[in-house]
Amino acid sequence: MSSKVTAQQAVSRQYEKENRALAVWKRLRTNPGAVIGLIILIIMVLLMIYSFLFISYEEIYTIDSKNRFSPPSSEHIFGTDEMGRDLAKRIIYGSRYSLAVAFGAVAIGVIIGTFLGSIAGYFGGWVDNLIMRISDIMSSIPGILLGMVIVTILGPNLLNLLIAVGVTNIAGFIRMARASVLTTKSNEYVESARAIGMSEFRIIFTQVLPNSLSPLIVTATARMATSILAAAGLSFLGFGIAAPKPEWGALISGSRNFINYAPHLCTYPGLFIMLMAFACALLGDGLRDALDPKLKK
Amino acid sequence: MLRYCAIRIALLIPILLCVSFIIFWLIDLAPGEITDTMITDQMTEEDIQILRAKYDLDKPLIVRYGKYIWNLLHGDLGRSQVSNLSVWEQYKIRFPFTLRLSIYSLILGVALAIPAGIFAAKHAGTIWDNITTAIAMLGLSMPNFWLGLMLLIYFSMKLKMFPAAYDGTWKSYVLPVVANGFAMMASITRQTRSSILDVSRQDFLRTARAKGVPERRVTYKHELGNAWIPIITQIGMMLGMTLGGSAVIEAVYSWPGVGYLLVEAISRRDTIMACGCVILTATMYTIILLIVDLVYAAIDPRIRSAYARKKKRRVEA
Repeated sequence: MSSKVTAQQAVSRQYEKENRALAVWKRLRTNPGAVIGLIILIIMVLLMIYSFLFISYEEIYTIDSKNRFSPPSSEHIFGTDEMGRDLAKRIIYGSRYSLAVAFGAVAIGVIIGTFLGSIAGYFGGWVDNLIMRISDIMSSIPGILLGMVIVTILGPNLLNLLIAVGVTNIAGFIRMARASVLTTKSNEYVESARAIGMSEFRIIFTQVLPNSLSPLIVTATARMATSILAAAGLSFLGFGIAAPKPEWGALISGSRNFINYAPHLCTYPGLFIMLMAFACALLGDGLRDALDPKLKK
Repeated sequence: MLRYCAIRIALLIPILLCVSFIIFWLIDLAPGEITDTMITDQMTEEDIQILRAKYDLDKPLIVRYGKYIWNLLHGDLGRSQVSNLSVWEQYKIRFPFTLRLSIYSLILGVALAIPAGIFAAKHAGTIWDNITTAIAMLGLSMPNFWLGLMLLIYFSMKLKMFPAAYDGTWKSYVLPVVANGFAMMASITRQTRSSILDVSRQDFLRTARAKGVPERRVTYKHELGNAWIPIITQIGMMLGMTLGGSAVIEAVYSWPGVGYLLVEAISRRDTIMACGCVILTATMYTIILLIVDLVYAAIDPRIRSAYARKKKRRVEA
């Protein structure tokens, strides 16, 4: 008898969950900005897959001294760089770095930040104090500076750039997760979970956090945009992915000596950075409206 | 109020201690030492040891840090390990350039953003709102160093209207201020729009309109007056961010500011210089946040009375 009831409950719960995700998707679909953002992101991912499949290592790095600085043409749609390499192919090849930073750096921030923040909010007391002071310290160092120092220590490559940008994301997520845990933890269902003897960590991760998911998703998407810009800035200053690799910020940095006679080398990589960040920001805004319709009207 | 300020500034001290230790420790962890470029082939092992001893590199990290903090407590930020110039003097020369760049960009940003934000909020849901929001969103997504380089290409190299680097004239401010101010404008516009929309459904606005207050006055006095707090927070954050993080724009325009100083210090492993710059920048940042808090009290009577009440309660107790 009892097993029948729980089975029924499980079915209805699953139905409700699907329903909710579907409702969010339906609202998201009606928001033109979010749709545009999503389409741009999908195109970027497709370009990345294309670069993995069809652009060989040689095409990106082989020097062609006859073709230096040729302006955009039908053969090379974005022109060629100071070593005669096709800029369009290099940019497409570089999409993997930006996408990796967008997802990786935010993932670092979300995982570490949410974990620390929810512990701080749930337990309170000295744990809260300690974690919040750590977050204060982290946010009082300018992000770009912390990033520079971390890349200097670990060495300039993709993983370390990811870590550098990711670390600067942590403090924000700590504060956000803490705030939403503080508002959810006094609900009755949390109390009942404690009454049936759930362990503290299980309560946090199965009862409290899922109900703070919406602001987390919204912040994470918005953070993707700032992470892309931060990573490009670090690479531009020389504290990111090093020059022969076609990371977009590094491409712009490398073009600085030639902006007199080859402005296209600077223009196109920047446009791609902008498109990518724009897409993430649009999607973040759209998700905010879709996840919390109360906010909009 | 004074007491509140004192507490806020006192709370800064442990944070600065931790920050300076972290910077010290991280630069120590970084591969390479300040002496690397000074060592030549002719030097014997002994010479190298003497050279390292000169920079205290033979002593453990904690001893070096202790010495640094001891000097700091006596008001001495130390000397650059590369140029042997006083950190404080260097910072004092460079800071006004960064400050001017930040303030002018902020003025530009706020002057454009507040009307734009109000405009978007008034036309919420229409095409005008969408256009304004889209421009703001583009401004947020544009890497500022790229915008800087684009401005450089078109206005400095093609049209020859403005110089490409700092030369002391007002003209050399135009491009960096625009490049820096655009992103600020974008984020303040968004904030203004959303906080105006937040207050736009309040009852007191209907009352004001009902009693015949002109629409312009409703907008600027009643609506904007109640929407200020989040906008001011955003402005303060932007100011703090450019003071610490305009290194990129400074690199584009060879701007003689502190951001560039810091980048150089870190790449040369000049621990004392880097640490001094970070401490001073973090202090500025905190002071700006404190000023923002005080501005709240100045413009919002509710917060002002909260301060007063606290005082009164203390007196009664």
